[in-house]
Amino acid sequence: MKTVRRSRLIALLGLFLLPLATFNAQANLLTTQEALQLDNTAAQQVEQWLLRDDVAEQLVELGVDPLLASQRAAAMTPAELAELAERIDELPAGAGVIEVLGITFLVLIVLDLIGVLNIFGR
Amino acid sequence: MLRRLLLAALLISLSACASWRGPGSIDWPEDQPTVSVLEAVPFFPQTDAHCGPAALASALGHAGVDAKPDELADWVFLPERQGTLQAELQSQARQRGLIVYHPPPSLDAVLAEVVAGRPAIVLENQGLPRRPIWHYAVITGFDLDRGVLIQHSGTEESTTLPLHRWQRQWRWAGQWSMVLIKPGELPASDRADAWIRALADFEEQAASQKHAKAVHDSWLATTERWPDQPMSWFGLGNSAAAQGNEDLARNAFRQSLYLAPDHAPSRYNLAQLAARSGDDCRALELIEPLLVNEQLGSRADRLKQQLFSHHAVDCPPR
Repeated sequence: MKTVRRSRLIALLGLFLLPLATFNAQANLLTTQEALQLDNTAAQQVEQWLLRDDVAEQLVELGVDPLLASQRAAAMTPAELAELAERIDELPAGAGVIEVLGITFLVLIVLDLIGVLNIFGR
Repeated sequence: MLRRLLLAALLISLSACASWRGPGSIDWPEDQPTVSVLEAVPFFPQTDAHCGPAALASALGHAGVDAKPDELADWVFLPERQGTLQAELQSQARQRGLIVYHPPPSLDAVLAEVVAGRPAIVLENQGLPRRPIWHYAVITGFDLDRGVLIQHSGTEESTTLPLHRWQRQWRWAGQWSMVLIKPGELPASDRADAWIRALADFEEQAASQKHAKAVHDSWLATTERWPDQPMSWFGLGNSAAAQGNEDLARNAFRQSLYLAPDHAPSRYNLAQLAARSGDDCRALELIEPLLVNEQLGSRADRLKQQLFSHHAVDCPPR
């Protein structure tokens, strides 16, 4: 939690430096992505900068190399960041087919069910 | 007790199968082929829990982007979760130069992409609704006459499985799919809003000059296919401005304002372009109605201050 708070502080500092960093010809046009998410209030849009750091930290907690984690968070859209920041633990993480252990268990259950074995002791 | 529970579970699963009406139940247009198989979609047998990286490598490879699952795993795998999140498959595909499009959540929309030559990455739940086992597979073909789907899944290449079984696994995973679209191409299904978002996300997140021209071509194609959508023109305006073509940008923003007179983003960008070209009075005229806009008011005000800070703007009365 402490580290999250520190990252928020750094992100806030970053906000003050932002006008310097994004000074180029394109910066003053509203991008198409921004226009599509205008329903978010301005306050939520400021949050984007904090979200990115929060998500990076969560990725690190889930075992990602810290250097890669910030790049992975940087590659996400505001919508993806918001989703991960809010409920990364509930989101499906596609992994794999039923492992051997599971299949063995199923076979035992079926054998028990049709009366070949009696493992569950009735 | 356990026996009774298991029997009940078995009966429930059987009845779920029985209620399915067969492959004829999908909404499939007459003029579409009932059999379609994508040849030579690269296959990478999954190792450990790396179905995400393997599926992504397949779809990328088919789109002409070489990537190995082991290398992709560094970018999409979560060791503590032993799996891959959808968001990271999406962001990583964009980073590799492809637009991530989600077909509408229906079987026919996914199969239409396959017919258009794009394998679809799908999320499946191979467990139960309350005890999910999440898995990614790549759909590479189908045969509606036989009622089967063909996919690369796990360690199996071009494996065939009954559509009804797959549809259940897919439904239990929220009917999520994604296809990778090369810049300049358009999706098969007619869903402008999802496509415009996909393209805008690619434009912003892939952030590379290498793709700027192709993104611009994509927006041009988008306005041709969906000329009634204000956001098609808004997107074209931005990509034209990024290409340095301010005349086209202005015309595109005007077109979107013509279609939707209240389109605040178009008005705002037109004002910015006017200010950029030194036409301060025109910029002020455009920005005035936006000052009370809930979302763009503060930006509009900033532009106004900026215009007045240059010099005292003295505009003729309209």
